[in-house]
Formats: sequence, C-alpha cells, structure tokens
Amino acid sequence: MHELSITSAILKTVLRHARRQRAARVHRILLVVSELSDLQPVWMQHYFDRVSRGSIAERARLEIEHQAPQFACNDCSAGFAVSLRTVDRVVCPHCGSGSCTLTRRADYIVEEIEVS
Amino acid sequence: MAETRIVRIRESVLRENRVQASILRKRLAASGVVMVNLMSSPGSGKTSIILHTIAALRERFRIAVIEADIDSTVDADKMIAAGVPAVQIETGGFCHVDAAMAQAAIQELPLNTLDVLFLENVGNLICTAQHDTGAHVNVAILSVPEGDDKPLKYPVMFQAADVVIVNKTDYMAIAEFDINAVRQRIAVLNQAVTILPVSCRSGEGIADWIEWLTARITSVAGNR
Repeated sequence: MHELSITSAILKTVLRHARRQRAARVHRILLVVSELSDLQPVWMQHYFDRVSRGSIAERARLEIEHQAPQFACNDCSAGFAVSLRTVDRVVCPHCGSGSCTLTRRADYIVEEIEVS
Repeated sequence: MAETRIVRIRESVLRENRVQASILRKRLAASGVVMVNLMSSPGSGKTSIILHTIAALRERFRIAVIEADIDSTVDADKMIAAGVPAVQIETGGFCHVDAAMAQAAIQELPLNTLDVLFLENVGNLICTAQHDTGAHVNVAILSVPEGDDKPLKYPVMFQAADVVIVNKTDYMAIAEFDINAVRQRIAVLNQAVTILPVSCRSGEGIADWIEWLTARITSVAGNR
C-alpha cells in the first residue's frame, strides 16, 4: 500500500503544477528517487496508471532516476555518494575514515514534467 | 499532437505532509502535550514497551495512546485495560501513519488533560520512517531476533530515530547478535541517536529507557 500513497502524492503534485501551466495533457514525469526508498519502478508505474485514470496525467510515463545516498566525512568533511546496496560499512573515499554522516534524507522529488 | 514542453518542478512529494506535521507538532507543544512515535517491525515489542512505560510513568504524567495496528483493536484493548485513554486509527490497510491521520485521531482526545501521547505506529520498518507524524520524539525498536544487519537494510528508519531500543536482549545468547556492529552501522546514518538495550521480559534496561524518555519529555515540554 506504500506505493499507492506515494503515487497519489506524486499525482497531486504533478496535477497542481500542470494546472498552473494550463496544460491539457501530461506526457512524462521525471522523478528523482532516493535509493534509500525501496519502491520498484514497475510497481510505481502500475499504481500511477491506476490513480491517474481519468485525469490529464492518465497514461503519463514515469521516468525514475535513482540517487545514491549522500554522505559527509566527519574527519575530512568530503562529500560523497555510496550505494548501501553494495556495502555494509561506509568509508570515506578520500581519507579512509569510517566516521561519516548521511546528509540527505529519503525522498521522492518531481523533477520535471513534459506537458502539452 | 500539440507540441510538448518541459516544465521544471523540483518539488518533494512528501513536502505537504512535512508541513502538516510541523503544524501539528507546534499545536501539541502549545497544549503542553509531547507526542512519542514508536516504530518497528511487527512483533518487535512496541506494545510491551508502551505498557512498561505507562506502568513506570503514570504517576508522573497523564498519558494517552493512539493505536494504528492494521485492522485490529487488540492493542487498543490492552491499553484500555491498563487504564489509559486509547484511540484506534483505522489506517484502512495503509502501512504507516501520516500527519493527517495523527491529527484526526488527536481530535478524539482531550488534549488539555494530557501530558504525553504515545503513537503506536503500524508494524513496518519502511514507510513509517518516511512519513513525519508530527511527533516530538521518534523511537525505533529493533528486536534481537531480527538480526544486527537491519540498520543498513532499513537506513531511513535508523536515520529518522532519536532513540533506538534494542529489545529482547534476553535472546542475545542464541541469536548471534553483535550490538557493537549495530552501533557502528547506526552511527553512519545518525550520530545524534541514543541506543538502549532493553529486555521487556527480564526488565533489563527499562530503567535507562524511562530515564532517557523522562528527560526528553521534560526538555520538549520546557521548550514550548
């Protein structure tokens, strides 16, 4: 059910901006999704198709860009991205310190929409 | 087909909930109520922790509970049996509580006669962490049988928490659970978090949790 609430929120955001643009149709939606969230693109599209039925965003294509989590090193303050899918500890690539902080939270961002 | 154009938006879809949560948080504080949100997998001990906490703090604070267990009133009944007001949120199959649901439940409670409000969130390590409920204190419970690898598998939960209770420490000997590995994995995600080993069964660590929570409640209530 998580997909349903997130995709409903995506639709709401998209429709608000589309109306402001006086768009007749939304064709494509570019989403930037944190890798920290776990939604599968195929299911997001599936749920989006359902919630958008009858709206001007019906049949819009979701294009999903995953963003690896961003960290900051507590020792040398370098910023870097690491995919937590492949490691079980986070090490700064610049100075090798194991003391790092996650700097960006999990989120779903509607980056752009293609309308006509 | 008419010519298409691309519109830059750059807006978080969770923004509306965050705004609503922050309004609710201020409103509760203004009424002198501190909301404590408990999150965990199903069966990690949210209800047990709340019942132990009520027993320890009921003389000091006026307590109520919001229950969000999916399609069940079992937990709300336990709270009422413990003698505290309880409201059941019917999440309608949703896997988390958001600010709007919390707000609706709070409407049913007499805020001016309360000091502390526990929110027992839906048993789920993923969605609950992504939705700000308006709580002042976020508690994640990780039980020993679930394994010490959970922090990096569910990073959002451990990032969102102010305190992580490692519950069921009485299973430690048979579960090959490395609490130092848990500490290291959580530190990467969240440096400000407190980690408290607890056993609801033996009572180990309950006093530390009560002390931590009391200090936090006093500090939130004092800052309003």
